Order: sequence, then C-alpha cells, then structure tokens
Amino acid sequence: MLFSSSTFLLFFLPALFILYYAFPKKWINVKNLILLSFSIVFYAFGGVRFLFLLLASILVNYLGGLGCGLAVKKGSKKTFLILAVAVNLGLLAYFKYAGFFTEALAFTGIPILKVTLPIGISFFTFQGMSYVIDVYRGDAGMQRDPLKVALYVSLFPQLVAGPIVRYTTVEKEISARSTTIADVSRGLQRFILGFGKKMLLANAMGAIADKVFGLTGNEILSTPLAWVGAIAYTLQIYLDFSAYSDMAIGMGRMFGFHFLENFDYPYTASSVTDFWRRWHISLSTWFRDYVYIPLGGNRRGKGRQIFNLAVVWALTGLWHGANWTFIVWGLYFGIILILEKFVFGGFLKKIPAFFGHILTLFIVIISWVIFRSDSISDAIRYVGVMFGAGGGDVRETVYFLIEYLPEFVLCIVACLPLKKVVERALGKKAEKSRFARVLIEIGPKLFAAVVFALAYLKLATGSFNPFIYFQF
Amino acid sequence: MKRSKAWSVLDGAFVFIFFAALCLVAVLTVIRPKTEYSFFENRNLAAFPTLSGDSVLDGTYFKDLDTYIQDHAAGRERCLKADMLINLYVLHRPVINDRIVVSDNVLLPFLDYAAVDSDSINAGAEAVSENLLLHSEQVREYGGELYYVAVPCQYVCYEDSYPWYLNNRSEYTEASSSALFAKLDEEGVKYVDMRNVFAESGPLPEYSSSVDNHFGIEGAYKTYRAVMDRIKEDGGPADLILGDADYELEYLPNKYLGSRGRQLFGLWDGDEKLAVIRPKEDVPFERFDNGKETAASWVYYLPQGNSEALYSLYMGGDVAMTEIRTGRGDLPDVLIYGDSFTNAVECVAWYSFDTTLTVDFRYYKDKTLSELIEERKPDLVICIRDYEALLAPFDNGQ
Repeated sequence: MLFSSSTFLLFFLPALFILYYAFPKKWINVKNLILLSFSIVFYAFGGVRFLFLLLASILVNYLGGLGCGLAVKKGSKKTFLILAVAVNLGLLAYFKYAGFFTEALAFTGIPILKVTLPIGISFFTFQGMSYVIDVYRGDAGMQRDPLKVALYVSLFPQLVAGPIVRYTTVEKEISARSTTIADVSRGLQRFILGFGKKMLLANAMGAIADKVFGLTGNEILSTPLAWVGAIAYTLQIYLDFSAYSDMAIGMGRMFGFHFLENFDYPYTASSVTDFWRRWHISLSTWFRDYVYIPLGGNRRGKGRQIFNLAVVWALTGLWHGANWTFIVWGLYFGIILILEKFVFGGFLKKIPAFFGHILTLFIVIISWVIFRSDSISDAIRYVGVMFGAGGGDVRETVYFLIEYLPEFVLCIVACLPLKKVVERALGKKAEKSRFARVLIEIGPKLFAAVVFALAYLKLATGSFNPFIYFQF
Repeated sequence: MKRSKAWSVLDGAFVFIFFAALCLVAVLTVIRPKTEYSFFENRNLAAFPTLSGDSVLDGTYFKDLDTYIQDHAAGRERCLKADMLINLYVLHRPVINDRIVVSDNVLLPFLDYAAVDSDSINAGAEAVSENLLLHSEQVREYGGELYYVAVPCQYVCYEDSYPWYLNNRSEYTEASSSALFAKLDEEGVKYVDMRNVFAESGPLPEYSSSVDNHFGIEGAYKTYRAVMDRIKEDGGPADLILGDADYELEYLPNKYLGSRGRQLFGLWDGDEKLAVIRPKEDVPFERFDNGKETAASWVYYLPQGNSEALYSLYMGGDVAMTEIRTGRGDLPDVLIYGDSFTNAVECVAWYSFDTTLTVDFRYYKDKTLSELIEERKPDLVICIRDYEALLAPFDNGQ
C-alpha cells in the first residue's frame, strides 16, 4: 500500500488512528496488537503470497535473537547468529539476486531464474539481521515476546521503504511509550510535509526524468536536455525518498515511536564523504556498524581499509538492486570516497566551500545517472550526451524549464535547510516576542494545511505516483 | 520555555480536523451513489474488483481496489477542476497535463519532439500510396473513381500559434505531405489537398476549431465542395452539388466545448460556436447505423438546452458504419471512409448522392475496404485523412 494513495489516506490511516487511540495508554499490548495487525494488512496489500516471506523472516529473527540471548556458550551464540544471518541473506539472495546471478552465469548453461521481488525485502531483512546481531553483541536485550519482534520488523511506517530502524532505537518504545497530543500533531505535520514533497515536487521531477531517460531512438536527447533530466532525477530521488522517510518518521511519532533521521539535507554537502553522512543515514550506518567495522574498519592498515571500503560500497550498490548499474554506482562512490580520504582530502579542505559544494553536486548528479540508467551502456551514452555528444536543440529543455518552473524553484528550496534556519531564528525571538511564539505554533500547522490541500488535489488527479525506493 | 496549554488545544484541533475531514471523505466515498463514466475525462471509471484467490495472492485485487477508491473518492471531480484552475490561471502552465497547449486563445495538442526521419516517411508514403492505388484500380475496374482527400488537422492550421519552444511538427507536416502527394502523383491516384484549398481561401485557422482537432461545418463544406468540384472537373458523376445559395448556415447559441475544452473540464474561456448547414430543399432520407435503421430524422445531434456543444453534433459522433438512403436512383452512390473528420463532411455530402455509405475502419471490422467495394460497387469512393494520419497504414489507412 502506498502512503500516497486514497486507500491509505481515507481508510487505513484514520481507521488505525481511531482504533489505536480508542484504548487507554496502559493497554500497550492491545495497541501493539492493533499496530501489528494493521502492519500485516498494509504489507498484504502488495500481495498476500509475500506475507509468508515476511512472517518467515520474523520467525527466523525471533528464534535467532532468542538463541543468541539464551545460549550460554559463545560458540552456541555464534551458531545462532550465523544461522539467522545465513537464512536472512539466503532469502535476500534468492528473492532479490537469483535472477541476476543466474543470468550472469548463463554461459555455464544453468537455467535463468525469474523471481518476483517481494516489496521491502531489503529493508525488513536488514532490520531483522540488526536485531539478531545486536542481541549477539549484547547491545540489545533479547525479546521473548514474538509479537514484539514481529511488530519491530513489520511496523508499517518503515516496513517497505525504510528508514532501517535499529531495534535499539525502538526497544523501549515497543514495550512502553507515551504520546502527547503535541507528539501526534508534530508527527502529523511531518507526515503531511512528506506527502506534499512527494505529490507536489518529487512526482513532477519524476515526470521530467522519466520522459528524458525514456527518450526513444527517434527523439533527440540534446546536451542541455540530458542535464535537465539528470538534475530532475537528482531532485526526484532525494525528495521522493526523503518524503517517504518524513512520512514514516511522522507516523512513527504519531504512534509513539521516535525513529532516527534518515536525511540531513544531503545536497548541501561540501564533500562526498559529507554527502554520505547526510544521505540514507540508516543504510550507511548499518553498513558501517555491521560490515565495515567487523571487517576491521581502519584499524588494520591502509591497504585493508581500502579493501574494506571497496567491499562496503560494492555491497551498498548491490543492496539497491540486482543490476550492474547499482554495483558500478556503489563502486563509483567507493572510489571517490577512497580518493577523498587518501588523496584529495587536504585539497578539498583548502578550496572555498562553494567549490566543494559544486564539485560534490556534480559527482552526485553523475552518480544518479548511473543509478537511473537501465544498463551500463545506457549510462555511458547518457553521460556522453551530457558532455557534448548530443545535439544542441534547446526547445524541449526550455519547455521543461518553463512548464516546471514553480516545481524547480520549490525543489531547490526543499533541498536547503531553510526550515532549520527559520525555526532557529524564530526560536531566538520567541523568548521576547509573542508574535514569534504564535508563529512557531500556528505557522507550521497552516503551512501543513495548505500543503495537504494542494497535495490532495494531485492525489485526486491520479498523477504519477510510485515511490522509487519501493523497488529496493 | 514552558508551552502554553492553549497550544495543546490547538494541536488537538489540528489533529481532529485532519482526521475528521478524512473520515468525512471516506464515509461519503462509501455511501454516495457511484457513477460509471467520467464525462470530462471521457473514460469509464474503475469497477469494483472481483475477488479471487489469485488476485489476492498476487496483490492485483488490492491494486484494483485502490484504483476503484481513487476513481470514486468523494469530491474527486471538484479536486480535478481545482487542480486544473490552478494550472490554468495561477501557474499559467503553457502545457496542461502534458497534453494541451494553451496559446493565443486556442487549445492545441502537445506534440512530442521526435526527429523527422525521411526514410520512414518515404517508406510510409510508399505503403499508403500503394494501398490507395490498389483500391483505386479496383474501383476503376467497374467504372468508378477513388478520391483521396487530405485535410489539415488543428495543429497544421495553427502552426504559428505554438510558442517557439514547443514542437508544431511543421517539418514533419511538410515532409510527410510532400512525400505522399509525390507518390500519389506518381501512381496516378486522384487526390485533393485541403490545406492548399483552405490556404487559398483565407488563413488556415478559419477552417479549424480553436478547441478541437476537427474542423466545423464550414471546413467540412469547403472540403465537400472542393471534392465535388474536382469530380465534376474530371467529368465524374457530380450532377447535384449543394451550392452556396442552396443552404442556410445556422450558428448554435451553445458554447462549443470541443475535445480539448472538455479535457480542461470546460474551465477554459472560449467563445467558439458550432454551426449547422441545412439545405433549403427538403430531401427526406433514411439513416442506418451499423445496419439498423435509426430514429434520427436529421444528421445533427443538437445539444440539449444550454449544455455545451460537442463535435458529436455532426452525425452523433463516430459510428462504425452509417448509411443514408435518399431514394434518388438517378444520383450516384458514394462510399466515404476515414476518421472523425468524415462526420462533419457527411452532414453535407449526403445531399449529392442516392446512397451515402460511411465507414470508419477504426470500429468497423466485419469486412475490409476491398470487400465492401466489391460488394457495393459505389460510383465514388472518397477517403478522408487528416494530416496527422497521412502515413498511418492501419484502420482507415488500410
């Protein structure tokens, strides 16, 4: 089910909200059961057959956590951990990568498997594994109640497109949480802002990107058009994914959960290293904590560190999808990060920050072209056109710029930390100014109301609507 | 700083209003009567999905349910109109919904930026002209004649109204028409190019609609006259021609919505009016649609009351096969085939013939054109194609 669908907005969310708050705070188990039931229904909307996979994943992680928590000997704990991780990765490998690998090995004569990708498998598998690993490491307590593990893994706001929530983040809130009306209101405002970002901005940029990246042989991809397409996709992927995270974080808060932020204005980064501190934070920290550091991180010499970085970035790419473009995209960032760390780091610190921002944006835009392309050859062709291998007809470029001018302007605004700046400025004035205090309270609500009304119009028109990160 | 309780009340009100509004829309969506057809979108709305094991397992049932709810959500049409108003009058988008170009008091189609491919144009022209030659030879075998009539569609008439950065397809228009007419000349197929005829009489937009792809009755009459004059010039059977003094032109008071105005939910301020032509002489006829006699006593389907007029005014819109019998055996029989442009032409052309058989091969699939010619042996076969479809070798381009 999509957050940005009529079914979700008109029926699912109100029904859940009313039912959830119909019970008193102390009935936490009933509230959990309601959340779990709705989460299962939410997932089942994508096809009931994959529900069994989700339930299997929950069971494996519950048993893995139980084993790691109850086993006395370290060897036994490790056995449970390895078993749980192996089953998790096995499911992921089969459902996500079997087709890709059998196709790559088709020359050996093995049959090519065609497996439908279950929605959200990458997210819930990583969440489940983090729980077992954290219990094994002693970072999280073992959960004896299977329903609580089930709720953690399947909690609908982050189930199909993240953020990847660590068990330690919500461990306490699963068992005891309290929500105030201010929490609900702020969560709702965050949800609405995400909804607006998605419907009003990301979808508009998506329409441009899809048109430009989908140009057929008879249509001309000119150099300026290629840049417009690449920039539109750069804006789309951020606004789309961060919109989903906003909605997930907002809804989490409405139901008493405090998920960590997944984005921190990544397009304001001054280096690629900085970019990855701000982009899909839950994924990069997952790989840092569960792959990079266990591999030795930077503790075993420069050579080993480079190897570790390469492994992490190849896996990061592969996590996004079973296609060479994703692997190359991951390695592209791996190489740039290695270069930043060992070669250009000093230089980047010396140049004016403005150039750092521009250079980072340039590298990121090129990366999204690789990411968006259907194949490596398509990516090479597209990048070639960006650098002059296309015609110079500017008409279609001008059309897109004029047609989507309001969206382009708003997208750029949405990529900047203006909200933080305004909040900080008003916060300082609030001590003395009643007007500032009123504005802090009323402004976001009015803004949210207007955004929701406009976004709902777009929902009604049934315009372009898929979330990009659903495919991962 | 401690937060005032008043703000908590405001938070509560905000949350309450949000969910109350959603619940209200949800309840209205469930209880209000459902419609099956959306007039402005010109499409059937989604039907409630049928439950089956497979559809539940693979998720198609829920996907279809979502589409159903989306289509039938309370207030949907108001939302569509509000969105359209914002696009039209607040954001002033040059192109609405990626389809309609709003420019110079005219609504035009958005045309993609495909490059002109001479090879494919030449191949298309050759294929279409070969088809026409085959039909032409078939008609000539029994003493009849085939005329091919190319009519300019709206974007051809309004080429100059497109902003410079939008494609008006002028290059393609020139290349495709030149290639086709050269082939027709080569093959000896008789044709009339209405773009030239219109251009000689005045500015092209005068013979097109500002809100629809098709011409109105004025353009249709001009087309009819040009073809009949050409037939007469060739010594063909054009004994009775509806001359300028033989009819009355009457403009309807209703606003013409047109297909493009309809796509903009009638929110665009246009003042175009459609007209009808009525022969002064009363000629009774019988009309058969798809082989069945209709109760229609006229060729015009006038709008009810003050409702907006549509192109379906002419002949009632697209019908697979229409036959008008006037019982005047001394006049020739004609077979007219083509897309919707034929509708307005039929409204005047029937006057000149004993039997007028009109076929739209987009919908008529029982017989091929050759089979119909073989069966009916009409004195005249007239193919009417608009410039956009000149090189389309399927349906009416067969």
